[in-house]
Amino acid sequence: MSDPVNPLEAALARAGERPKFLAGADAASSPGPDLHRVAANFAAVEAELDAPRSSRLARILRRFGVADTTIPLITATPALRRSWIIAVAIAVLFAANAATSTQATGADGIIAFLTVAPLVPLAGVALAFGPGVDPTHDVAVAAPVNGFRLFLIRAITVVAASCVILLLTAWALPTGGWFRIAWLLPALAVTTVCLAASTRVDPRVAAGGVSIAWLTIVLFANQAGGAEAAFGLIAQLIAVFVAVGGFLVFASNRRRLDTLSVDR
Amino acid sequence: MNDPTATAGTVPDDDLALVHRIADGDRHALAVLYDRHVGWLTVRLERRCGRRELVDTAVQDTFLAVWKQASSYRETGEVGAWIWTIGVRRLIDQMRKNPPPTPVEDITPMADVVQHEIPLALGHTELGQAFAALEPDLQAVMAATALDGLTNAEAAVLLGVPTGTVKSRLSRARQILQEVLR
Repeated sequence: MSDPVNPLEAALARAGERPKFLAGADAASSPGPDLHRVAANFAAVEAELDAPRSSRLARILRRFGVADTTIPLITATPALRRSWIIAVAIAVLFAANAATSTQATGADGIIAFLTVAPLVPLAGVALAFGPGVDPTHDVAVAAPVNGFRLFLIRAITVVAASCVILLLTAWALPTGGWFRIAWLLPALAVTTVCLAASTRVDPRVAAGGVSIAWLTIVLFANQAGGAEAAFGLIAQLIAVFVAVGGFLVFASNRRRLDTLSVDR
Repeated sequence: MNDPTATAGTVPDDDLALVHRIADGDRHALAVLYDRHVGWLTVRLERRCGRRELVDTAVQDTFLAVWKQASSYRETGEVGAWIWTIGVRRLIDQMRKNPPPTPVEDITPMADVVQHEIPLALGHTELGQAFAALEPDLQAVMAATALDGLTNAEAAVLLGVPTGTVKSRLSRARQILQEVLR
């Protein structure tokens, strides 16, 4: 914008260099900060340097305004471990591969993928709670943690993480049209039913039961009317209905989650 | 007064050597650099922002940034200038995050800067005299942009005025100074 050899620019650039200006010559004319304040600020710097480094996920969550007390509940979710994510990704890729190796088109062509996909968040939810799998389980039992909130946060985390993997896979599928995401509502349905059942039985037992129920339904629907019957519009509406119902049962039994026993 | 550690024998005199040690993870070097520079940094930041807690946070953030960025420090200019560049931006960050509860209209921003720092930077030059004749508002905006090296948007945060105001004042100030220096 302005001419570089302009005398004003040149003079300002010279002034901007101000060699000794920064070295504190001007500070001598004002009283500096008192020693207590100097020490306190350095102590704060050291405390920050000594603090455990938070993970990348935790930093991203903080940036999005997630409360500091909620972040550990999310990051400790077993389904976010790299090993779990890799295992799931491999399973889903196999299902997708099996799906696309048939000659069928539409929902029939990707039925294997559609059948397996809802089981991914379900397995994640099942393995998100309980002794042995949840690193924060003992703490959660001992501390006055709101069980409902913990379950909800964990479940949302798992479903979100699973959906990322599944959506990426679905996006890469060569066939299927909109059926590529037809697993989404069924996944929500089976997950909420599992959560509802978890208020009564161990989450792993609940997930096992729901998985068997899901596979049975798909099998029968597929035999009766093909993949269209298992994942078509009517099936999607039923899935919404079941998801809402499951959530209502889960929410109305929320008190039971606060009494998670140690040996469960 | 600004250099309480100068007598400690093993500590390098040179700021640059300190920065290299900090890059290697030497906490003691950080402490020495801090002691050497925290005085003027605090004074100068307080001239730009009267809110003590924001200045303190900015000072802390500055030395955290020094710790993290020491390994990528490029040896051009003085270490103090580098610290200042970090410090003034950390202060802007704090001011952006914590806008004043009520707009402060009655005090002239940067008045202390103009009084204490501009004479040192410009001295008794033609530019210095021309600067002294400017209106306070124009002085403030020139001090924030030309001397502190802030962008218009950053200067707007520091001065508590819209960016557009910074731009128009800046062009007015430049016009006047150009006339004098012609």
